[in-house]
Amino acid sequence: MRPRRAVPPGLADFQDDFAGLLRTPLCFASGRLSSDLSGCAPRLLQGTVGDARERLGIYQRQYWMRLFTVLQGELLLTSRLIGAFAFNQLASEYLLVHPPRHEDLGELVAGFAPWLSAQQGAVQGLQDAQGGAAVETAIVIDLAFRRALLSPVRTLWKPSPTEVAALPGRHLRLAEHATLVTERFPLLQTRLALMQDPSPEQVSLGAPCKQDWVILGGTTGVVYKRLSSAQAALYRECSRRRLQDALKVFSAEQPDEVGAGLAGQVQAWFAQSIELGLWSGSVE
Amino acid sequence: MSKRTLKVDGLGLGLRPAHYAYVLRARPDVDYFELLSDNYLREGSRARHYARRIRAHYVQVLHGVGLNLLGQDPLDERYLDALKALADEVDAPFVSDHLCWSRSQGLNHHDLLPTPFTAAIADYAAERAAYVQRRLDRPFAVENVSSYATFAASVMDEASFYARVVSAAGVYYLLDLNNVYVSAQNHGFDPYAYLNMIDFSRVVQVHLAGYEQSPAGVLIDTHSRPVSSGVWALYRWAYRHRGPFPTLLEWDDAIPSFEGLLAELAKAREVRS
Repeated sequence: MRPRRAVPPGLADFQDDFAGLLRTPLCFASGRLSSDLSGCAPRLLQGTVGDARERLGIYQRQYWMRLFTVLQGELLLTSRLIGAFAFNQLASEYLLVHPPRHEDLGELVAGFAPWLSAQQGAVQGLQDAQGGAAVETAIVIDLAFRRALLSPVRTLWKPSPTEVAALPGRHLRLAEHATLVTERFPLLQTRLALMQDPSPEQVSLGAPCKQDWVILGGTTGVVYKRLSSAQAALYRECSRRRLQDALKVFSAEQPDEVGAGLAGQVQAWFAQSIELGLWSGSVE
Repeated sequence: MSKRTLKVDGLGLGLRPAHYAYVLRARPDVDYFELLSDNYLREGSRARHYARRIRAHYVQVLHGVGLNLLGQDPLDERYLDALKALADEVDAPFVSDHLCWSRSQGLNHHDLLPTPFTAAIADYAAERAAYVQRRLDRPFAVENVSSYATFAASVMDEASFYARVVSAAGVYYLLDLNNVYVSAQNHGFDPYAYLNMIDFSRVVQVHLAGYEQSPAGVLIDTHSRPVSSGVWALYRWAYRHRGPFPTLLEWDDAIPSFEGLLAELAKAREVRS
């Protein structure tokens, strides 16, 4: 039988007051984060023993810092490109309107990432198109790491001989844990460095350099592999069109000098993609 | 009901994702692991995959933060369904959560929040704890939390409140000695008097962890440091006068190498010998 007791008198009011205190944003004005109890219900302040502002401020600060820490951890690269302090201000703005409901704090990022993506023009220091595009790519890379880490461990898809025969008329389905990324600055290397040492609060874009990657979940963690632009283009086409059409489009886009060696190269890249676990299967 | 049990003097560690590969490879000398249940609720997840693999070699107990025992919202049946499925899958000897609230009005505050200590709130929590134990079909233990604030509305001390909930519900204690010490320092009560209020025959496990101190001198339960000398003294007293009991070390931030964790855990063996 489910619990039948009514909520004790005063408990709901106490918890509503306390929740209101927690959700009052920290003060950013001084250049450092400090608690702000201006929105705290007077009866909670008066009902707290001792130095209420000091004691309640600990809970308020812990609430916000926990959320900032989670979002900074999930969006490790993005937060450091924007700068940790500015990132926290943006997170605060978002969380005020979208406080956490799910028990998994990591779920916050699912709503925050697209919101942040839409705010890029407003991010101080990254207003130019180049910086904004880099933040977009950083979000893609951060989310790729999250997907790769959280995805279930599955056996590799290896098409049977019957499936191989039918493949030309089918699309390949990109595995849930895999992401193809094109970066124009050395962002993935920056993220790897931050994973070793997350202490920098801000990082620079670095010198422009175009590079394609695939990021995916392996049995013991995240796997990332450098791809040539042609290899990445092939994989993208194969996930968008039926295989026979994808190969036609891909071949037509290759320079003439690639010519005769292309078929062998394509075979090798396919074999590599299967070994990597890039695909989860094929669909009509 | 689980067929697995903990060694009465067992020494365990909180299992964290950074440890999975090491544990499976090295099979360290640990009696059991505690899983933060909220991170393992999703069936088919990577975390669940590792829990299953590690279960083949170690007993696992479950420790949650999402139950919201003292909350005004009804208990979340969907959460309890998932917790029961997980407990059945890992065959947990017991499941635990905290004597606190963490959610209200559908919002999740992701913290172990304090409450005034009144008989009405204790009885409310006890009914909910008893329900959880029946629902999970295995022993359910309640952990005392660290607190940084107390309230004028309280009519009893924390130890009396805690004992009333456990006794009225017929559940068990997960006694966190670091939390006893932190709250005792923050609120000026005697931690040994607190322990004297506890019926150790119902303690399924003792937690040890480290704290930090705020600039204003308030102790904060961070699980980011070695166990303090004050907590070791409390542990020595508890083990000698009320032991044996299984002991678990928690470390959640600035986590050292696994060898570092084992070295800290070994101190427990030294302290109680």
